[in-house]
Amino acid sequence: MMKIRNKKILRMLAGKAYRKNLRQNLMMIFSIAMTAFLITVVFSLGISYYKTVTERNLASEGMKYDVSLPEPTDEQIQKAREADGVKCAGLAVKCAVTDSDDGKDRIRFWWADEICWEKQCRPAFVMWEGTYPEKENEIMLSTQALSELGIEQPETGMGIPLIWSSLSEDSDLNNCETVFYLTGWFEEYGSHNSGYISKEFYERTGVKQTDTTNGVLYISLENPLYSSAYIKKLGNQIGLIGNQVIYSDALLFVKFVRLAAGILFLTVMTLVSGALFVYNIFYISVAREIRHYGQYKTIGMTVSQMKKYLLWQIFWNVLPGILGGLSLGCVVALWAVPYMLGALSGEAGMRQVVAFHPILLVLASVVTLLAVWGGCRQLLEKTARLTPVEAVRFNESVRPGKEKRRTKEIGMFQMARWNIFRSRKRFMVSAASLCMVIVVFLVVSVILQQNSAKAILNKQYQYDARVLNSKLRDDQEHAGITEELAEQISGLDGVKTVRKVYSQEVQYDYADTYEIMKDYMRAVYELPLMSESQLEENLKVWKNRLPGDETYPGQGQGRLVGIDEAEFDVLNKQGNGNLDKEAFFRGEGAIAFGFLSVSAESLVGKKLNFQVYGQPQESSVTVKWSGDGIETPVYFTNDVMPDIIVCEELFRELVTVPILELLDIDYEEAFDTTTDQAIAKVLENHDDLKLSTKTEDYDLLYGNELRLRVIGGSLCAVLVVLTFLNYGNMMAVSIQSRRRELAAMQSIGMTRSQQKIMMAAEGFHYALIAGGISLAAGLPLSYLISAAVNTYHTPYQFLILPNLLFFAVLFAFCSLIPVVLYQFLQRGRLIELLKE
Amino acid sequence: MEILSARKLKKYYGEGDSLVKALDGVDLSVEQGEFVAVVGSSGSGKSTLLHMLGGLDVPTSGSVCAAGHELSKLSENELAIFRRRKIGFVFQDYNLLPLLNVYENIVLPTQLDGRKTDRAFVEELLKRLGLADRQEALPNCLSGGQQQRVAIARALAAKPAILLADEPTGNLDTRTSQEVLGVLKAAGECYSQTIVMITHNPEIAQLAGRIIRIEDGKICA
Repeated sequence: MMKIRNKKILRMLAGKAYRKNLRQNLMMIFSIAMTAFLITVVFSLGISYYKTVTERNLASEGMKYDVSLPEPTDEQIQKAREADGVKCAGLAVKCAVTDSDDGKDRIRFWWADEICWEKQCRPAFVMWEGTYPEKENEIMLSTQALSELGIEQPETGMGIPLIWSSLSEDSDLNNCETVFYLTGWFEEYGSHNSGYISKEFYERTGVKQTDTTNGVLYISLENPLYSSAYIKKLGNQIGLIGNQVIYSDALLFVKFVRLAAGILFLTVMTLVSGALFVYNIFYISVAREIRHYGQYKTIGMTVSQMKKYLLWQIFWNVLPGILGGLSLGCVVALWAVPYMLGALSGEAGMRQVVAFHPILLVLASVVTLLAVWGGCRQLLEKTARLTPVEAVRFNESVRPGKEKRRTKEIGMFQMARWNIFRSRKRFMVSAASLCMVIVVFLVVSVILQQNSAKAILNKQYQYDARVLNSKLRDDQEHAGITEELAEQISGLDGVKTVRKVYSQEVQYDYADTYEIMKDYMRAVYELPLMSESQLEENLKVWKNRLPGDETYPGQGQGRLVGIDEAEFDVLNKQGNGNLDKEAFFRGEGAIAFGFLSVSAESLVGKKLNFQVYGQPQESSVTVKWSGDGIETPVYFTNDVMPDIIVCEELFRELVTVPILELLDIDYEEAFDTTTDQAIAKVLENHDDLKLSTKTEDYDLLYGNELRLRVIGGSLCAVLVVLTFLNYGNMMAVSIQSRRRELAAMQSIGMTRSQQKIMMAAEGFHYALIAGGISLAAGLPLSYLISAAVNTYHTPYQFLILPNLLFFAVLFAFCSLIPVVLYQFLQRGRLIELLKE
Repeated sequence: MEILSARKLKKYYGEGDSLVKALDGVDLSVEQGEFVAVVGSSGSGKSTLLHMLGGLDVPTSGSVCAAGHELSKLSENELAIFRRRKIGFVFQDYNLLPLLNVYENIVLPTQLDGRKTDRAFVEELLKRLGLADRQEALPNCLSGGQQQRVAIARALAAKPAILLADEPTGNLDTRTSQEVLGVLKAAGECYSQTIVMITHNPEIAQLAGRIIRIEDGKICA
């Protein structure tokens, strides 16, 4: 029997058709490549962000862990190790520092238990060599510490003389000189001047793991994307005591979900955009070749053979498209992702991990194939099932329909409108593609604005500069800022307002206050970072506190704050003007600010009795307003008790010696570095005062903003190119299919100028319709997305100018491209065009 | 008064052995209001001559003067304006615009020129051409004969000085052909229009005031 080699014939026919439509096929390869490329970059961003989040403590602490517990007891360490979801928990204690008379950075000596060293320190090092110190005079130093000591070529066993002091408050080991023998060295991701010492040395220093700020239990979790509910549960299992909290990122999971949603949005947009482009090109190819398909059908090509014939052509586009896109994606991802991460994380100094995994390529390929399949599937099926007669009758340039109502005036715009709707499917595809890119632009522009350095700083700082009495708590209510100094700063050029904030520690009496604060206290200890077990213990301490006992930290301590009119106005603005200014300044009541996110609403209307630090008599104020939703004006806080804000006059009545905690300074012009410098000059000789300005953080944040702009802009640009190519392609085909019709118009008197106006009007209509739909859908969408990913809580802002510019470019492009294409395609002798 | 003239009009295609002389030195003069029929065998150059007279194509050499305009001196845009004001074309294959209904196709040349449509005249034309009840139909819903009548109505609606018709009755039955020709003649007489019509039909040609025979790109009689 003769072998039927129809597969080979089909491939040959497909090959011929492919070569004939080379221009369209190259366009399809390009669109598939762009889709694969964008998806690779977006996925790379996601996977890298995950890795960065899970390893975020490497740079800041030089350790691999997820959450930490300061000053842990042995019992707590044991409980932590046994707690659900804990992979390991290692203890590290900072026990000594070297002296730095020569101005060099101090080296901090740490002792790490075996778990901490093996599972949390070593995996976090870039490199390490040697062994952990065992003897009292042995040490392991970071390469940075060695470099600080002038040792560039370290050797195991070499002696290093160091002068050190114990960090124990009870120890008299100060300025001790010891020759340490080097057992090894290590390089960390962050820049830390640290060294590890033996358990023997640690015990000698007298430091305890429970000493304030010295001992830390580093906890590695099985799921690094923990929720705040889990941290709460962990706290309860460990049994937090006193004012202990588990240091964690309460919003980590939420942030991750937000980012995942962002990546999903970009992926869907890219997928849809790619699918629309593929559909359009495939449709154009099919429309061109449909008569041939009809002929093939007439001579006996079956539906499945027709499908194979078309699939071969799609396959030849998919293969180079995906390979090209993935390659380009890999190159760009390796370059782009590190920059993007810094920008998206918003955390300075975060180690930027470039994550790349083969699964990423597989995923990107699958999504791209989905886009291609989504673009081709319906048309492929429909084309394969067309009858020969349907194929011959196929005329995409003529709209079906029998009658159309008479129009009084036929203008260029009217004809343009009819023309764009003549192929509704093509119009839908092109308009949807344009809509897609406009929506992405709107959303990205809003997110970029939301993450701009100035927007973040304006949100985070309620002032342009702040002078803080940094030693206020050092020697119990240190008076660093004087009224004269405030006056002096107020008189500087560029300074608009100086807002004064006074504060004073107060002690609430348990018997008077507990009942009033009961609900508030419960809410505090229900916070994820606190443990309910702490409440009973702390209440006991508070209850047993004797009158006049001013030891710190204690329980039941809070701060009484006095503010001037300018500061009140700022607070009231944040509170949407809900505070009664006149009543506040008449001294009728106070504003209560809760600890962290805890509401102070339950205190409204309650009278609070307290004793001002250093004053024997008891005072009282009535809480009239809650400061919920308003940023507390003070820097320092005491315990978990609420801050009580009163007007300056009342504060002076209650406090015998009022002390300024800080000055908030507003400038005539924000980010004015000259004024920054002028204030810094005034504070030159005030070591106890700390100046912080918005401008200080601007450079750092601006770097992030710039990177985000570059990356966001690039993603948008690729989508814009893809869409505009799609649009241009669609327009070219639309003009080509109307060549004869346009010539007929010319023959009855339509000038080329009129035809160009008609073409421009067609494009204008596309832009108008797509722009209108996109604005209607894009604005609410941009609001929703920006609200969902608003890490810095910056206000939603729709920038008019860049969007106007974008729309101007869109309208210009959409209007001009058809004119240029018309000029290029509608050439030749009129009579020849009429004969086409 | 001479309204249309061609002097030594030549139109050659190709070169060397494949040179085709579609028109080979045609001299022609048509008076205002004249009804001229152009006859000749297929490929004789009738349509080419008509296209040259209407400024749809550019001659290889020679000149065409129509309604006082030397066509070779007009730019592409000026030619289009000239056509919509002075010339009415009836194409063999109609060249109707598929997106416009019958009425819109007919009034388009007038509206492109920014002129007000003579509605009464258009209504009369539609009535006489049997299209009164098809005004809102799209071309693809009309028969060939109906489309031809729309093309004729479109050519007449702008009341051009010259009407150039390429086989205007080619797709019509005898009765309709007679009616259409009646309309053409009546319009020519009423508006003093000059009509140049290509036809294969000797009977129809006999209705014209003058018959021009063209063979191998040359006028024979």
